[in-house]
Amino acid sequence: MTKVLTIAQDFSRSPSGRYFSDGPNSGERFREEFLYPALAVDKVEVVLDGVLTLGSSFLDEAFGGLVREKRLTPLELRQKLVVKSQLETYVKKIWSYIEDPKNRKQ
Amino acid sequence: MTASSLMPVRKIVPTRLKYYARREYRRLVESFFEDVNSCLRQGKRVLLDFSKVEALFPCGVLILMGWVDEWVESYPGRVSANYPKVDLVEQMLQHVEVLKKLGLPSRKQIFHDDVTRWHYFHGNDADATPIEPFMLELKDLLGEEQQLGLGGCVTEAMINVRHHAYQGHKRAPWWIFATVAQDKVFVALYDRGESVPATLLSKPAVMDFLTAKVWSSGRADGRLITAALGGRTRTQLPYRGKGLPEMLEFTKMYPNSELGIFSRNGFFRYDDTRESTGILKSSIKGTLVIWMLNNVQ
Repeated sequence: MTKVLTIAQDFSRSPSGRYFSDGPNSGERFREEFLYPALAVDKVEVVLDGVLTLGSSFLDEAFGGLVREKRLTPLELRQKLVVKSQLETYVKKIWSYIEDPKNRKQ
Repeated sequence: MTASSLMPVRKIVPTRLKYYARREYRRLVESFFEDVNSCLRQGKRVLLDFSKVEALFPCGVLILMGWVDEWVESYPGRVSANYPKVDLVEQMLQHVEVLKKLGLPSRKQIFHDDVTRWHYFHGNDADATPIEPFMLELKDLLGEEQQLGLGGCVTEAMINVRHHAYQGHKRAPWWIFATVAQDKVFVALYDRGESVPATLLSKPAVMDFLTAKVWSSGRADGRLITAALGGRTRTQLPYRGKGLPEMLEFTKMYPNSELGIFSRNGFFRYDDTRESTGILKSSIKGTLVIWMLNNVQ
């Protein structure tokens, strides 16, 4: 069973910021309170359409942070995560953050 | 207490409150703020005389708002003002609550297009919820792809303010003026935290690299701002967040567009393919970013 997370509806229309301290709609909060709990249970489809902001800090922390924080490996994410958007650029951006070699250095 | 300490010193606000301008106009604005600060430091009271103001510009208003907030907090009861004579000027200063902060009750209906077309936002963190009305207007006019790109630059710049200008602070106040019309987008963002040069120089790796005294004296601040825009790829220096480099990249995509960054004693300017840097005669507190995009559609 795949859980669908539509950021604009389930989280915020204006996701922004990297850390919890940046504000209520940060990448860290999305990762810790929405994305990772869902991934821990099953496959997840994240829908980006409908948001008004989608900055690189938010995306890097929400998605790249899963690997940096050693929650999941890029390979596991390839098997469990689907990102959907009418704008393919953002899907590619997310996967580049997930597969960024800097995330695996520590 | 002497009579002179009770009587406020009248300081005439410049006729054109414009900072992103030729040196002579900028100098008038700088001198005005220097004069007011000097009086306040000497223990005097100050009356801001708005009666001669004929035109306001977002860059000048943002700096005024920053100073007014600081004066009200640091010198309570010592700064007062009179009402502007020009109706449009009063509407704008009422709209952004400058007059209210200086103890002048609101008395105008705000209807003028030159006031209402401006979005004005103020926040203390990197939450983008306050700027939603501007994002919605951008989306209607430019479509989702362009709007998300522009919005991403603005939110990254807000995160820069949070992470770099106010590192370790609970509050990270910023002010934004923004407007969009046809194929033009204007955004002015101001913060009063640590400047771009100061945050770069605070990094040990940068100080190791920049041993010459000239870097910390302020004379090279324009070049330090340029370094913050380019990151490692351009200068071999660790960069100061993604916001400013993304803004510059975006600016270069549209002909006749401009990006101006004023911070501490220097400025960087990109103006339709030309990059330049310069020195400010008077240090600007914090950082002012002026972003003007043309031919966006």
